[in-house]
Amino acid sequence: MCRKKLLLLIFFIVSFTQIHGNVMKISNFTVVIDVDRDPQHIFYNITLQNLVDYPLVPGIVELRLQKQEPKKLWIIPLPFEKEVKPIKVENLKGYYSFDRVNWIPMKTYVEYHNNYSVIKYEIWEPIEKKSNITVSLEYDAHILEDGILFKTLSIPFGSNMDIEHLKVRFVTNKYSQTYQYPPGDTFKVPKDSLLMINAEFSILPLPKLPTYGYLLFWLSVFALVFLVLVYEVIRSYGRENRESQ
Amino acid sequence: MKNSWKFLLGMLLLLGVLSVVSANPLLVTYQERYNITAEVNGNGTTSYTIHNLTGYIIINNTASKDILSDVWVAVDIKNNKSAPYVSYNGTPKKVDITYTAPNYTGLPSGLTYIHIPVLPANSYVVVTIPLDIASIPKAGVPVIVNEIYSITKVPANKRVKWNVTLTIGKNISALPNEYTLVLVNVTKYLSNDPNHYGSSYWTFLNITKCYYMGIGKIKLWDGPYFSGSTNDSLNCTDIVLRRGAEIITFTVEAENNFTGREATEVPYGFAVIFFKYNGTLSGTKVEGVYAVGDRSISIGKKGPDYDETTGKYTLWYENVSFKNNGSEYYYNLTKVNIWAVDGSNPTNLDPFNVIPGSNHSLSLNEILEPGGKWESDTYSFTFNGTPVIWANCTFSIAESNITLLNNTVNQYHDEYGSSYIVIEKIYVVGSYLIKVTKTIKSNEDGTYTIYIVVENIGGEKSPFVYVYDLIPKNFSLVGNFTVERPYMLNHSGNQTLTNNDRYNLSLYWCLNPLNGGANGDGWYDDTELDQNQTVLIIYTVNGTGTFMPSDLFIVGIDPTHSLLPTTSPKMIMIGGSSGNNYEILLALMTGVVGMALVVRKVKK
Repeated sequence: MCRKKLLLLIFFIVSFTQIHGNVMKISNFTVVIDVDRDPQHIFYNITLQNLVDYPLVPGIVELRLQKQEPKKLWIIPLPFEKEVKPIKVENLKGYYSFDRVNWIPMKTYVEYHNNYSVIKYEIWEPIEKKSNITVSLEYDAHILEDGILFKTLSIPFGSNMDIEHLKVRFVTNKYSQTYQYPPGDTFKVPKDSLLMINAEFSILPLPKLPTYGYLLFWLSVFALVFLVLVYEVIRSYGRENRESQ
Repeated sequence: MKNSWKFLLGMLLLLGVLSVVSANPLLVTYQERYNITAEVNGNGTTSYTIHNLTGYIIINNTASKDILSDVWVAVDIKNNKSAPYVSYNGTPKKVDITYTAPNYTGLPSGLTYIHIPVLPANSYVVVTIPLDIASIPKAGVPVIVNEIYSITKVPANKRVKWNVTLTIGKNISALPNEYTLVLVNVTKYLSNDPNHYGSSYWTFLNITKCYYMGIGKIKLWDGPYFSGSTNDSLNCTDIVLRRGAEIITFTVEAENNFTGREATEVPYGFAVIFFKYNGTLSGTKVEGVYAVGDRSISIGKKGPDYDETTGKYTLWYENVSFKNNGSEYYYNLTKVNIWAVDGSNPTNLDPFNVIPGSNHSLSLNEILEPGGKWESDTYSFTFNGTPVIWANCTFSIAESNITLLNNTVNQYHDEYGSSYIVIEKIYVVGSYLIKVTKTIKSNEDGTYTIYIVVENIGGEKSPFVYVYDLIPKNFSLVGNFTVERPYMLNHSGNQTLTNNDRYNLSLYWCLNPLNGGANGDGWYDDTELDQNQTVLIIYTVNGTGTFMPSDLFIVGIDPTHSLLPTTSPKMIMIGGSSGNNYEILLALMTGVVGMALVVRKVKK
């Protein structure tokens, strides 16, 4: 887990070396992920707050996306082998509003780089002093890691500004959520740091578990089958010994 | 002005305290000391840490000759987190902390008592009381220090100046009341010593000028933490915080040899804050003091005289006198007893078998100056034998000789004098540093020409630079904008603003990378333009109807290696996903074992 975070940090730290005063912060950042759709539908609602006594123009804002997953041999994930790649973004739409009533479409586009993709949106209107602007952004992307009975998800959240209230919500009618770490749905993310939310969903009607359900389920089945096999082997050796005597 | 009389009264009280101290040689002080540090980061934000708050009772015999004995100090201790202890004993005998005191002291009961058997002249005892900050509702940083820098970043390898505005104010919520006067001294050090909140990157540090308008004094001097012989320190003394804040401004001139490409936050010195005010917050209080000094008591006996009633020589006379043998303390003689007993058998004398009529008990309130003497009346009694006269007395140091002080100060620090240290940092940018200056010139025809000068004052080439500007309501562009050395313009754009009350047009220019080395004067010259160190954008606006030219004073810049405090930082957020699902692998392993089991069964 630490190694993964480290890789991501190395990737994003380039962005974070830019230094500035705390003139703006993300006061609310709500993320809603529709797990049932494939690719998943991701909805962001971001409130930016101008902290200073003069208007600020947000300009071009970047949302950098990267997918990190185990290397695969056909469909089999290989342990300890990771690869990073850009996330394919579809159906991107964005709006902003100063009053949360009138929503103005904003220019949004995606740039793909070697191992990450960037959603860019542009706001050229000033946020008045001590005021807010709310940005709504939605897109489709495949961010769930598919298994057989379980699907897992690890999403990093971070910014070069403080995120005061990060709310993460998963929407699903088809699956039961079997795991989430850290638990809860509201978090605080200091600037230049990453928060990783890990979650798991299953087609099995299981409750929330203390760790990944696929580990508990498959290790239990594996242990059971293995014990039966060992029992069979010992029993057959015993029988052979009796017959030879 | 409404409260100026309170200020004057406070000053008089402070002066009064000082004058009383010299006249009253037994000084008992209850003092609370804050151990605070503060850090001002490169963004000018101050964060405070209160490490602890400690109470001290200092019992100090400031007399030059008089030795005090049997000193008892009664203390009502509140909100302590552990028991008080003697942290310094300058006397020849052990000092005890007890929870009862003898009746003769007259001290209130149920308190904590410090007993000092002997307190020689010019000696003192300190009792420490660790206080529990969490249980003291008003505990907080009593003196707030804020710093504002004229710039928040400086380039490397260049002599630069910046102004620091240091504001010192009272935190009323952490003081006994809103009228509490706080006396403050500030010592500011620039430092290139990493052991003293400096950085070895600094090759030059100097305070070129300083300014303070209050009633205290300010002085520059060559301090110990920068090796050069410059005025790298300043003292500002006798600051009195009344209602508003006091402001010290100074200009720092500095040069550093940072070689990294990134921007880094570098400490460049610290300010040491000394403060003192009357009153404390924990509720701990000295409730009374008892002490005695050198004295002598003598009795007189005369007789027997002829008693006309009995017709025998049985009439005796007795008296007692008391003398203050001290040379600085006044004594308060409160009780004297004199009595006689039968002395006919000296080997078996009962000193309390009182001869009737000989016992006299006097309650007094007699203040005796040093060397002063008190004598009782002469009392007579009849006794057919030889009486022995006894006398005792109760006295203590006069209350007027005892000063009780109650104040709060900074915790002492061996190196700096005060533990209240404000560490100061500034960002040093080793690569490029963009400064943008917007100058507006009025034209005779009522239009305004806008000059936006973008300079790279850092040492390295910048990336693309975005400059943003806003055109206020009721202004319109006259013609198009011009970029001097047009090849420096990568692209530009604008957007009409329909939902904003103040601005109606947003402009931006994306400039090609600027070379480092501009002089940062906020203006342009041909050399800097030719060398692509400076880019000049010019346009003209015209106001119609009701327009506010002051709204023109806005400009933004990106990237954020910028000197402009109004920078709108480029915002970057992170998202994505990280895969960690090995379910298929586990299922496969289970399947292999299952297959082995099936094969085995089939074979059988």
